[in-house]
Amino acid sequence: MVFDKLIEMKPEKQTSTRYVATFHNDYGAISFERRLKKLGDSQARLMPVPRHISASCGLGVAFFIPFDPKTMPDENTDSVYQSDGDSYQLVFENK
Amino acid sequence: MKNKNLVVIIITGALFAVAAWVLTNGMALIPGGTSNPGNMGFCIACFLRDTAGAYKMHSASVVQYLRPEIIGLVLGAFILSLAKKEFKPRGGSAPMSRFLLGMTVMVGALVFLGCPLRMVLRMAAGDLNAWVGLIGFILGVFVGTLFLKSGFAFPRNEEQSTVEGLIFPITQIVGLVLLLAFPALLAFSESEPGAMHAPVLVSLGVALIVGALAQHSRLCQAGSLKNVFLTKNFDMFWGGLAIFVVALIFNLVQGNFKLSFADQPVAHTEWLWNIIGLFIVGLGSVLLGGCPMRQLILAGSGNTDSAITVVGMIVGAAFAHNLGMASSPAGTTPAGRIAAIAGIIIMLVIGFTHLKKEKA
Repeated sequence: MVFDKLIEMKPEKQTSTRYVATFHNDYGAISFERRLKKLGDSQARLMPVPRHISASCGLGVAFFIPFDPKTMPDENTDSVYQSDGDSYQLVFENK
Repeated sequence: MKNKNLVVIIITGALFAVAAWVLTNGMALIPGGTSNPGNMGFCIACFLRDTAGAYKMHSASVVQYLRPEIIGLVLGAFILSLAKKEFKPRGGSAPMSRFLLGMTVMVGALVFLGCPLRMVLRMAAGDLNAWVGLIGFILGVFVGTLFLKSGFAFPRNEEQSTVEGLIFPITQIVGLVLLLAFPALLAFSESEPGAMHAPVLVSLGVALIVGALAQHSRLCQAGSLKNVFLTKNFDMFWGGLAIFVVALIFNLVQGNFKLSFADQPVAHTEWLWNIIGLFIVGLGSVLLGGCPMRQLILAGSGNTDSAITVVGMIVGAAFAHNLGMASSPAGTTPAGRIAAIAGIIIMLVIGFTHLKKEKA
């Protein structure tokens, strides 16, 4: 089935914890991903925000090193979720 | 389940195509049925322009009709967002820039004669001019992603009052009341394409469903390409492809597929301006955070930045016709070509003046 092939093309899921960050604008996502890569997460990547987190069509970032509220978010970051398969738990909200 | 989300998006795309068919060649099957103009089951730009005409904001007599599709799309999104508790009044992010970009995107769309959704519907009918325009659209979205990567961002929006978020959906309800109960206040074209429309309740009903589907799926032509360029995720792209494939199948089965440049409904053959027009729409849509239909859906969901963008599109349509910028099947106009070039300059200025510097 074509869909299975499409799913296979996606990057492999990591065994470490997966986080998803959402943002107030796409640039927030782009700069966050660069920041995560500098912090050592080579697997950090831009992704469309999962539908059940948000009705927004903005970009999100999936990342795989432990979330650090001091070094990772900036004023464009909205929230960070910890992902367990298909469910997401809110771990940080930028007020 | 990732699979499930993809399936939802693809089914949504297919339903969009079915809806567009209902409003055009579907209605033609019903004795006495009236339909929208050719390859125009949905065209957000054209329909906003027609609506501006209905309110006599312009006097181009062939394009004056208060399109219920616009009302339905907004209210469908509005109702579903309320039901899902996703109605979130937010706004206050660079309103004048968004208003101006809305005008610019409308000018680009009127130079091409379609929004990105109509581009897909035209492609599925064999209109090669739309295939050419697609080049411009892809290029425009691509340049938009370059701006994003270079730090383009409007200031973040903020929570607004409930009333603020309700104003735009309420304007659509008012429009519906006028259309149904006080039509004498509005203008109605007597010749094509403005005079071509499906029955009001059919247009409204179909669009309500599509608006809700669009809110649920977040489908957006510009967004789908943006996602491909920036994230390599093709989910929304397959949704757009589903619109194309299903529309194509309906056209082939009914014998409405005509592969040509010439004599396509509400289309012209000036390849350069088809490319430029959709380039403007593509780039503008990325800067705005969504294509014209997505702006309607967001506005229905309480986003007042998108509402201002839509108002900009309506005003842009009025200016375009009052100043002779809009294309016709006969081709582009000198004012339209100048406006298109001005539009590119405007977008570049707005783009370059909103680049954030990377923190050290």
